[in-house]
Amino acid sequence: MASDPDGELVARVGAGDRAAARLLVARHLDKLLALSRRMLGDSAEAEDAVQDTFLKLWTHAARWQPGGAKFETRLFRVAINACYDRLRKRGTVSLDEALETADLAPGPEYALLNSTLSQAIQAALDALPPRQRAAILLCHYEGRGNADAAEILGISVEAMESLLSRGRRNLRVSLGHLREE
Amino acid sequence: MSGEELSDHRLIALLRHVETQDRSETTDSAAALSARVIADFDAVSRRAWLARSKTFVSRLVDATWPGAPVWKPAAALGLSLLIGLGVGALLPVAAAPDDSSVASDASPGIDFGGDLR
Repeated sequence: MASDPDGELVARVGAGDRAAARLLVARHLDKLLALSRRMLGDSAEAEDAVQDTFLKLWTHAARWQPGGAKFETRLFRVAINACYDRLRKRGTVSLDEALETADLAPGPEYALLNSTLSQAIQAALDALPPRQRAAILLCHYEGRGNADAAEILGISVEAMESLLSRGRRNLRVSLGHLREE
Repeated sequence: MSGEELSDHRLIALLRHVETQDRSETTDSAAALSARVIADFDAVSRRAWLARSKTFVSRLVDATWPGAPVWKPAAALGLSLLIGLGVGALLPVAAAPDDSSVASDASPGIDFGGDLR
């Protein structure tokens, strides 16, 4: 098995090394934030989810055991679960509601949501069930392999492929207006 | 596939495009979030240090006075300190010993080699 590029840093964080903590944050924060924003469709909530994720890391780093899944895989799993928790509290969202919310929440700090394309995709993602959304984002947005994404979600590769296929089908329908002319 | 749907290829291209846009956006909020996350690390480290110190003290107490609450050995230590200081302050200082009666390891300062020159 290939060595975990983050393993040594996590061990140092467990021993209270601040420089190692900063390195881990620099390495993973942007990716986690982008993914959480797309999962939640809300910048502020995504930041809270990422903060919670790192807080769990700081609290449990001393008990970190190398072996098993890579550190990054476990970190993404924690982040996805933090997003699930928030989505569960929020309840389900229909596509119409999602479009409305996307229109109403441009957020000056997050100008990307102002673009029509980004907004339409966010609305379509928001209307997906959370697990399909996570599968789509990990594989087609983050560009991870099915096996890696399945490990993050804690499911089999077959279940992952099924989620992806259903997610893509739903997105194809809701984003039909974006097809090539 | 219906004519109203977009192809998988187009869908994936759209998602990758949006991801590239998202990643190219270096927002101030990411820097602020990073600072918050590191502040959390400092807070957790402080709590861990306090917890370790508490454990150390309780183990020390347990080793010196097994089963006693912390205040008992602390009180015993404080009392013995007070007694020690009191005795030290009240008792007359003993006369300094006569240095001449004490055998010394130091060199007597005599140049034995002088006669040889």
